[in-house]
Amino acid sequence: MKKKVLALLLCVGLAAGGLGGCGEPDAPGKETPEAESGEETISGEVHMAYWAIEFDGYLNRCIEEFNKIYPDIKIVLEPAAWDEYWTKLEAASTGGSVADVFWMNGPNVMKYVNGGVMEPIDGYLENSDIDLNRYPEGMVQLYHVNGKQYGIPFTFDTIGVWYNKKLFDAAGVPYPKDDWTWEEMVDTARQLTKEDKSVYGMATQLEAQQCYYNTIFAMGGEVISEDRKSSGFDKAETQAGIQCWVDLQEEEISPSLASLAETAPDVQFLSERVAMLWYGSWFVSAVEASDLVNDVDVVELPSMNGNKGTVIHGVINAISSASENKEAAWKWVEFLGQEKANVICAEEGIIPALEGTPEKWVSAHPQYNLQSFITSAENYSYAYPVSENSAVWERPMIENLKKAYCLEVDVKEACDTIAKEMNEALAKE
Amino acid sequence: MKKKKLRMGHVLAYLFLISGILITVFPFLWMILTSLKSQTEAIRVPPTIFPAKLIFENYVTVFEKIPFARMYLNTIISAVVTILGHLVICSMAAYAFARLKFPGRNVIFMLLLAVLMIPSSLFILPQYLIVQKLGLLNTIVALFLPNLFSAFGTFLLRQFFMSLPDELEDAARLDGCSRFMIYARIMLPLIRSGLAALGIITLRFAWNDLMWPLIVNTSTHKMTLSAGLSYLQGQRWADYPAMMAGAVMAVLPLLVLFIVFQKQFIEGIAMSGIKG
Amino acid sequence: MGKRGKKTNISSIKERFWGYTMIAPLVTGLSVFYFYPVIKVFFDSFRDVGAFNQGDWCGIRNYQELFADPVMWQALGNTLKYVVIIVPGMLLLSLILAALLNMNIKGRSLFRVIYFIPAITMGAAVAMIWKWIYNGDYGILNQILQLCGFEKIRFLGEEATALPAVCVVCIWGSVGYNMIILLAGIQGISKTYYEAAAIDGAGGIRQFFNITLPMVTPTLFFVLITNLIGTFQTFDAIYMLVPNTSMAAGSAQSLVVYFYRNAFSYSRRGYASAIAVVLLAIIMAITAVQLKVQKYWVNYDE
Repeated sequence: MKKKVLALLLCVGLAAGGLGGCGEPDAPGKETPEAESGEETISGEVHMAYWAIEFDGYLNRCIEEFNKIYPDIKIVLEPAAWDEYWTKLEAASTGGSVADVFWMNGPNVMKYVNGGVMEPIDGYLENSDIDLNRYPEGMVQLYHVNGKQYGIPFTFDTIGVWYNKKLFDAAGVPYPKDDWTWEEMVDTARQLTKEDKSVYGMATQLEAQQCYYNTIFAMGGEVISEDRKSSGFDKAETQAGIQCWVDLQEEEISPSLASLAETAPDVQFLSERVAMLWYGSWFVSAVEASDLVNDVDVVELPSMNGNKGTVIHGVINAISSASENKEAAWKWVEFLGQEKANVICAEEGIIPALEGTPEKWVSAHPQYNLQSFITSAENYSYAYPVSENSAVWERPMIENLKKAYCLEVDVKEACDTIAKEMNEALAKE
Repeated sequence: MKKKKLRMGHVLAYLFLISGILITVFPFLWMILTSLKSQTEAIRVPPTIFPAKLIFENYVTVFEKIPFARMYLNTIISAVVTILGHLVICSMAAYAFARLKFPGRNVIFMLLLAVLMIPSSLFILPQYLIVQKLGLLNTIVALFLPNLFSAFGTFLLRQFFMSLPDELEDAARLDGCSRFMIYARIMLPLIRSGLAALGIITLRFAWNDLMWPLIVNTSTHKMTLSAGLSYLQGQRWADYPAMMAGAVMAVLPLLVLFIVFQKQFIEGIAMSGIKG
Repeated sequence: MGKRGKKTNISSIKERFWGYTMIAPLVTGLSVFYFYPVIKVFFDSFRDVGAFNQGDWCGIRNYQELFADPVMWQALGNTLKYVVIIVPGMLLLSLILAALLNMNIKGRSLFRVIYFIPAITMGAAVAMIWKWIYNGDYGILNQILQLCGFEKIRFLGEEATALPAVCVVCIWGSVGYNMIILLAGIQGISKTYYEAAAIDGAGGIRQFFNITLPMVTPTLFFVLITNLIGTFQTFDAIYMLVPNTSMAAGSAQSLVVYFYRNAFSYSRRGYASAIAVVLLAIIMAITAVQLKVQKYWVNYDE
């Protein structure tokens, strides 16, 4: 009997030993403020997570320059595919093992701030020559949460219409101009669409940032109210910004939604299946790397009833609150916000955010009408609409718009449903 | 009359088998052909069957885009350790369950069988948190740690141990060998075929596993080939020929190994069915 | 007599010592990575766990939501469809192939080897190839269909075809593996049965139904059980072939994929845990039923 008890204890002990080992909270070593030390003594590894492989060239050049100043800080890049980036970031954040520096975007910023994952940088900014007034105000504000600043924008993007000059020439259609209208665009798309559907005039993507947010703004609608308390989808102007896309669905001037979901619109554009594409300024590097490098140009979004609108959005480098080497992480983030990194950014095809450097981006790629992106940012850009937990209402938004795009329900019905679900979600925030 | 009928049967059998072979092989052929085309040619409509010009650069591109060599190494390390872990840990436990008497043995073994039925994908989150608490995220160890312990392997090897006659052990025990020595020196060599079967099944699993390595390691330098392919596919500008080149290279080692050791592979898998 | 008794005692203590020592690594590992997670998932299914693991008790709310969630029911329905299509399809094909390869035909071993290749091929690579073949704009399959005068089918992008298309890939990938197991089972059948049948004048097909099929039922049962459970867990193929952005995502996602998306994409850990518990219950129930029913059709005396 005794032995049985002993055996049982042994078993339980083994199991508990296993459990205990993992149940113990790991002490993340409360950050002891590092002794005041000269910059050159800062050392260690800084891991950086980001989602776009196209940025490798820019980041590698930045690392090279950075290491000239801080030779002892090693930057380790951790790229991820977009779909997996947020999954991984969230999983890693759950127990505080997120990369020291990671990219953060508008829709997710509040969630991560409230989750305590991001480190405010106000303290660091005090002792730095970074002047936030020299960055686009909308971008700075986007990352100013609950009275604290969480990052320096290093890039921003707006939307334009990229077009394939070869396909325009072949169809004998004149190139679009910056002052064109929505009706002119639709008409152009009709002329470009080939009878046998081997070429479509445009792509009616079900994409918020690239497409319908822009038309919502141009029509004078809003996605979310200014105080972020209520949905704008029940407004007639907002619904008009959706209706214009739905109207195109029956026209057959675009690959079907299913086609665009299966083969990404940018791939279809670069494989010359789509002649015009609503897409972001970040597309420059992909275009330059493609076969179409000399056959593509870009214009501003068309005006709707005389008004224009484009979403402006930008990404920051956030510092992890669990980082064990925040000093070094900050030095890297600071460097990426400074002039030198912004110039590299411009040369590598990405719009830099620092005042005076976007022009360098334009002049570094003279073959394209990149000024259109800067003009639109200055004159009619609207901040990417977000709330505390945008993901909660973005999912039903996309699901319902999908139904409207597929003509299963009419736009008003879909938008009213979105407004209802969105208001419920916002009330919970 | 009868003979003719038989021959007809054979013809039908061949027809069936050969069309099956074509369906089986076609995706691989198409993968190889695509991997040698240029991106423009790969997405041309209508498609060309054979590449107009053989582009071997796609294979180089894969190495430039992602640390593919490193992923190879990670996959090999992870697979080898997982196999060794299975062989040692499972065979030890299997021996104990099959041939030693101790209180609680049957209860513990039943619990083990329950694990067999549970889809491990459901526990990926707690497993992730444990690995995180151990401070092992983004390490090679994280790739194989939870996979070292296999209920299936134990179950399989237990069947092998149970089929060995008792007399073998009795003689050694009279000579004063400890049970562990008997296991290590006498019994283990006798179930070589079982170990080979388990090794092969584990290799197949460890080489191809996707979900766990995808979540647990974020740095591309710590990824396995499977996760690397998924990463390659998730890029904005999908480079189909490079993706296919990556797939060819990821599949190749196991394929070569299989062709060399096909007899062992097939016997191993067959054995798991009979013993299981 | 007394001496002998003492000796057994010592040896049985030793036996116990080695017993516990030798299972210790396995039991420890399984406790940490499997038993603890089972408890944790069960526990979490009653909590409102969102992003970053902050969460409170919420009683059975997750389950209430779950049973009222049409997407969950659709995913459950899809899972059943996968099982109903893949398992019989795969069993039938692998049984036919095994029977044919058991015949006295040339090139048997070559056939065996080639059929087995998909079984050792990385799931991620398989999905990548098939996605490319199925592609509605550039895929070879659609080009062939068009050449033959058919309409294009967007296999993975349409609600009606996405699930069957995934099934084809799953069957393609598992037939060879199961065929090998079944073939071994068939080859284990004593030749005397066939000789007796041949004397009675039974042809190949009758021999198959009268001898092969009944005698191979134990192996068939093994293959059935493992594939039933395996199909319930299908993840890689669906996750990679029909991503969340696809128009057919909802009509192809299985319960495991829906679990994964809730846990990792939608940050609803508690809800995901409830899905896991339900899935677990279903698998347990099916296994129990199978074990009960097997005595009616599995033939164990050889």
